[in-house]
Amino acid sequence: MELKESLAAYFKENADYFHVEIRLLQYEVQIIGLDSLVDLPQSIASLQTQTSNLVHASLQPAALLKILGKLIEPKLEAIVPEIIKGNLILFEPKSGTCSAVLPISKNVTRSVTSPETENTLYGASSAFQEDINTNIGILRKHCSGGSMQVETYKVGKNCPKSLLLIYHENRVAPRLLHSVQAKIKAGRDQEVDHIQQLGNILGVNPWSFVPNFNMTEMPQNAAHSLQQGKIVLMIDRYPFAIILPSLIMDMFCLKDDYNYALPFMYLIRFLRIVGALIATIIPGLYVALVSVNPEVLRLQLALSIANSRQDVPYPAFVETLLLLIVLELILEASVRLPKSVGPTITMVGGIILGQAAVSAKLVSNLLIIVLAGTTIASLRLSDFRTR
Amino acid sequence: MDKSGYQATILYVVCHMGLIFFLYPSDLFTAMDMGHWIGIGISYALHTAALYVYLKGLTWTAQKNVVDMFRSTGTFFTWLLLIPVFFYFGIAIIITLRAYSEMLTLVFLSSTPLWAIQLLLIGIAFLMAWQGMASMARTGVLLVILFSFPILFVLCLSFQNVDWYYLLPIIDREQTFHFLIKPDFLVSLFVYAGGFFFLGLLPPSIHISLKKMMLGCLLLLPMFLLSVYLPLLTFGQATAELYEFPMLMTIDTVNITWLLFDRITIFFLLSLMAFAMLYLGVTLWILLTLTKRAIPVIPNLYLLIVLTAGLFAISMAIPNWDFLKKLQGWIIPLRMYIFLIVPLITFIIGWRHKHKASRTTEVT
Repeated sequence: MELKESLAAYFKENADYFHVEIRLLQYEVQIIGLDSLVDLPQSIASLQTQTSNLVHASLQPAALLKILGKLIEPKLEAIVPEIIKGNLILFEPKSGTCSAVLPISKNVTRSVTSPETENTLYGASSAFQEDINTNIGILRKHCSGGSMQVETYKVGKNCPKSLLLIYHENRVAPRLLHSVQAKIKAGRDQEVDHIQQLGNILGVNPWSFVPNFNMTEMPQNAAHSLQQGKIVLMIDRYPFAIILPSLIMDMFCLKDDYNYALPFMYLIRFLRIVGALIATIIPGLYVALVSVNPEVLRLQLALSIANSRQDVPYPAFVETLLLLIVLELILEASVRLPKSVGPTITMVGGIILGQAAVSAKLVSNLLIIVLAGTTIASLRLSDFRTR
Repeated sequence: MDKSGYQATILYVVCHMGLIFFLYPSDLFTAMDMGHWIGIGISYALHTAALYVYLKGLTWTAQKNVVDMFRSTGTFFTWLLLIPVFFYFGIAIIITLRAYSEMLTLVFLSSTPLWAIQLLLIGIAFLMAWQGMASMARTGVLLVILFSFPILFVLCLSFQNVDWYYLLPIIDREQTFHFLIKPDFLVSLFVYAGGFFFLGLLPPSIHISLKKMMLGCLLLLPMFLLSVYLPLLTFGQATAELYEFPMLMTIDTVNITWLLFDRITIFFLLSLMAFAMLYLGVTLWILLTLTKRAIPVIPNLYLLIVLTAGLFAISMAIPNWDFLKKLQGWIIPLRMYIFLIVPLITFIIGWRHKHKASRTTEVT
C-alpha cells in the first residue's frame, strides 16, 4: 500500500487530517498534517516564500526538503508521531523523500493573564498558563542570571508529557536534586495527568494530610522558591508550578510580603500564624468550655452563653459539627460554581448562617460568631490547599 | 538534622517543665518544714553535676550512645547496668500516667473516667514514640513556641496573692540536714532524676551542645524555685503541705478582672500537660530503644504496642493514690541509681575511652 493510502487509513477517524498537493519549484509535493494544529494557508504561503527565494532551481528533491525541514524516513511509524506533535509533513512521491517541517501553528493556548487562584497586592501579576514554553520564558525573565537549569523528561507511556525540572544550579542542595532526578527517572513509565500521579512518582505518601509540595500560579513565587534553593517541577498543559520541598513556614510566608515594610511583614505573618491557631483551637475550645468546663469562663459570660443556648435541642458538640459541615459545604460549593451563579450561594449561605439558623433555634448565636471567626481565620493561610 | 544543639536542649527543658510543677512541690512540703531553698539547692546542684558528668562522658566517646558505651564493658555488665534503667523508666511512666490522670480528673475533667484519660495520655505518647526521636525533637520546639507565652503569663500573674513574710526565716537556727534521708525528699528527686537519660540515646542527627545544655539547666533553676515558693508565699507552709497539688491551688487563687476567663489554671495545666505528654513520649521511646537493643528481631511497632499495652494495664491496676505513693517510695534505690550512678559510670567509661584514644595516638 502506498504511503498516502496507509496514512489516510490510519487517520480515517480524524476529521482534522488533511492531505493536499502543492507545487514547490518544479516538484509536486504532498503536504500532510492535522488541520487543528497547523495553520494551513499561512504555512503554505511561508513554504512558497522560502522556496521562491532559492536561486538554484535545479535542486534535488532531497536537498530541497532538507532545507525546509528535517528529513525523516517515509514510513508510517516515523511520520505519525511527527503529525501528532503538530508538525507538517512534506512528501515528494517521485523520489520518495519525506521531511517534517515546523509549521505556523494554530494558537491553542490562552495568552498570559493575571492569576486566578492567587492574589497579589504589590507583586508582578502575570500567571503561568498551559503552554510550557511560555512558562519557562516567563520564569527566565524572573530569574535573570545564568544559573537556572531546565531539565526535560518525557514521562508517561500512553500519552507522553514533558515534565520539567527547574533549579538554580548554585543554590539547590545536591542531595535533594539527585533524589528527585532519580525518582523521576525511575518513574518514567507512569502517566502524569494530575498531581496525585506526580506524587506517586516522587514517592509521596498519598494519605498524608499535609501537602508535600506547594503549588503556585505566580512566576514570582516560583522564582523566589528557586532562589531559596528549592526545586520547581512543571508539567505540560498544567498551569501551576510545583515547588519541592514544602516547609511549614511556606504556609505563612509569601514572596509578596517582602514588598511591605519590614514591621508590617512580620505583623502580617504573625497574624497568619495566629489565624491558623485560632482556626484549629477555637471550635474545640467552644465545645469544651460550653459543655464540659463552663466554670473557666467569667460568670457573666457563662450566663450569656447559657442564655443563648437555652432552646438549642442538642449538645454543643453536635451543634458545632453541624455548622462546621454547613460551612465547608458552602465553601466547596462557592469554589466549584461558575461565576454567574456564585452570588446565589453566598446569599443563601449568608441567610442560613446569618439569621435563619439562629431564629429557628437550631444553633446558638455565639456559635455563629465562633465559627465565622474560625472560617475567616482559616482563610488567612497563604495556600488554599493547606486550609 | 540539628547541628546547633537547640533541639536537644529544648527537649530537655520541656521534659522537666512538664514534671516540676505538679508532683514536686507537695513532696518537698512534706519532706521539709523550713529552708526549702536549701533542699532545692542541694537537689539542683546534684542534678547539674550529674548532667554535666553524664554529658562529659558522652562527648568523650564522640557520638556513641549509652548502650554502645556500656556494651564495651561486656555483655553481662550491660544487662546488669541497663535492666534497672529499664525498670525505672517503666515505673516512671506508670506513675506519671496515673498521677497526671488523677490530677486532670481533679482539676477539670470531673466526669471523665480515669481509664479514658490514661488511654488518651498513653495513646499520644505511643504516637510520639512511634514517630521517633527526630519528630519528637521538632515537636518540642513547636510546643515551646505555642505554650511558653501562657505559662509565663500565668506564672507572672500568680504573684498576685503573695505574702513576702513567708520567706522568713531564710535560715532557721534549728535547720538540720535530716530531711536528706527522709523518703519524701528522696521521692521528690523524681523530677531531677530521669529527665536527662534520653540524651545518651539521641540519634547522631541531633547534636548536643554542652554549653547550651548548661544554660537550659540554668533556666530550670527559677522554675524549681517558683514551683515551691509560689505556693509557700501564698499559703504558708502549714496550709501548703495539705494540698495534693499546691501549685495548681495557688493559681486557682488568682483573680484577674479584665480577663475573659475566671480560672486560668486550666491554661497553665493544659500547657504543662502538653509538655508532660512529650515527657511520656520520650520515656516510652527510651524503653523502646532499650528493648530494641535487647531483642533486635521484633519490629519496632510490635514492641511499642506490647510496651504501651503493658504499661497501660499496670497503671490501670493501681488501686489508689496511697498505693501510688508507696510505689514511689519503693523505687527510691532505682531512682538514686539512675540519678547518680549511671552518669558516673558513663563518665568513667568516657574517660577511659578518651584515655585509650590519646594513648593510641601517642604510640602511633
